[in-house]
Amino acid sequence: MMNSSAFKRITASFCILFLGTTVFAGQNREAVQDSYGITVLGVYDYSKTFAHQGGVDIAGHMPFHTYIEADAGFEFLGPKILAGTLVARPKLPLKVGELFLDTAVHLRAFNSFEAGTFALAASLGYRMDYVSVQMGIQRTVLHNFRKAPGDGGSDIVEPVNPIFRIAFNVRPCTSPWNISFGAGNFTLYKYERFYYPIFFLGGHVDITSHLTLQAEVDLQFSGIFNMTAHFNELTARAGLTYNF
Amino acid sequence: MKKITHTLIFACLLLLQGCESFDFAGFFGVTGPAVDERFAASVKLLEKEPVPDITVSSDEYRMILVTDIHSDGKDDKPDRFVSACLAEEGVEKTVICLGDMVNGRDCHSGVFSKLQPVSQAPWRFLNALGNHDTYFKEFDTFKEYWPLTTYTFNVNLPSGRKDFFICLDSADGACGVLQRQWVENILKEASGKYRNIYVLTHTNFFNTDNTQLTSGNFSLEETYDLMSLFSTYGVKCVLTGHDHHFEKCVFRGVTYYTFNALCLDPGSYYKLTFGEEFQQQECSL
Repeated sequence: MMNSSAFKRITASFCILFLGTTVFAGQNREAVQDSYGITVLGVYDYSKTFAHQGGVDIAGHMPFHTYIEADAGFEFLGPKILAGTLVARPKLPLKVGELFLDTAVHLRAFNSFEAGTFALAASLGYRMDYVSVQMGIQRTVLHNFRKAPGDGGSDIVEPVNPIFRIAFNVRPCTSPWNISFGAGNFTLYKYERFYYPIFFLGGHVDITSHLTLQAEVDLQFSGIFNMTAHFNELTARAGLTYNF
Repeated sequence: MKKITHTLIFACLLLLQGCESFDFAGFFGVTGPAVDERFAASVKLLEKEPVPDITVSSDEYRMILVTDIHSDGKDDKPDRFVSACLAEEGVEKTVICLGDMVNGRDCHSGVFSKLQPVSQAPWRFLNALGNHDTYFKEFDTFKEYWPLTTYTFNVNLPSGRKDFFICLDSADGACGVLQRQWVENILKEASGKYRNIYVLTHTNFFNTDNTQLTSGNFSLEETYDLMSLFSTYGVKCVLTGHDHHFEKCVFRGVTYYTFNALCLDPGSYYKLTFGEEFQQQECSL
């Protein structure tokens, strides 16, 4: 198991970061047009590595200003995986659509392996009513939490892993209900290598002016686009967003 | 608009048909037996007929390694490699091939026939399955020549100790559930009993430079899982190919090598020294 103090430190850091950004967002909510929101989702995951797992996702959306917003996501999947991402997003509304730059810090820690991924990512995107595209790079560190004498250079750095995401909506993105689908090699909870796209199908419906119901299914295949494609992982999420 | 539509339709058909080197249909779905199926068949064969032990005359011995030959069976790279092997002195008559012998359809018989001088007695040819070996349902031909995709063998040393080699099938960019469980059991049993444990497989583990843009790996989750297994049970080195560029990484005491390909110009093969320490020497062709 992961060195428990290291795991506790990571958990505590995530909680502090998440709560900090949420509180900060709450204090500044008058300054923006879009609404702040907190999302809580139940998660079911099946992967060839871990088999069946359940967990919780907590995410915050913080539109500080017309030109900048932030997202924070935190995932606790079974006792084995802890993941979190902070995204700061400068954006530029255009006549048609919106340009944005995602800058993200991501950690996905695997308790049972005493190791995890630390990623810094930057991607440029363009969002319209029905389509959103995003491309960029991530610097990935495969981090060893249990350094011991004789381990040698234990962290592996992958300096340039391309990232991409393309999403389609069946209705304009501001609609009270919508269905989205697409593919990318990252989500708010997971950053993968270039050849591990996550195919997603999701939807949301506004139940009240403050509450939104949402659900999503993610599918991942190993060897796709390069070797021989086989099913590798399925993740299903469902829950509520509270919009302030 | 019509032209664009026709071009797109043509491109899609081309993708589905595949080209001479890549099986594009396989990029989106299973076109032959998957890793679990290949593993089950291989282990069944292995139970009946294990790979014979190799007995060496010195505790420090040398073998030849080659990977990513990518031959169409007509080029002269395999011939030049065979000549180089036959001219080598001070090495065991053993070649380890880490997969991707071929580059297209109907090439295995040509390549295996060219490699015959180093694949038949007194030589031994130990093969790992690569992704190109499975394209276009070519695994059916591959297994006629080399039916094992997952196997182990021992090297007996004069001191009475042994080295242990495990060859894994990673041709799909995944270890698979059955093979993953098997390798854990094998490692549990082997841990502490051997001088060194080596893992041979095709797919490389890391993307530490920009050369890997065109070569897929394991998912990150599976990468950690396998790395954790290898370090827990004392694997010394993991030897891989696939990427065509040399790389050496150390993670938690296990050294991961990715070797240069023979198909490059100049192509490379290696003389490996297995002793208390592992060493590799690159040779150009």
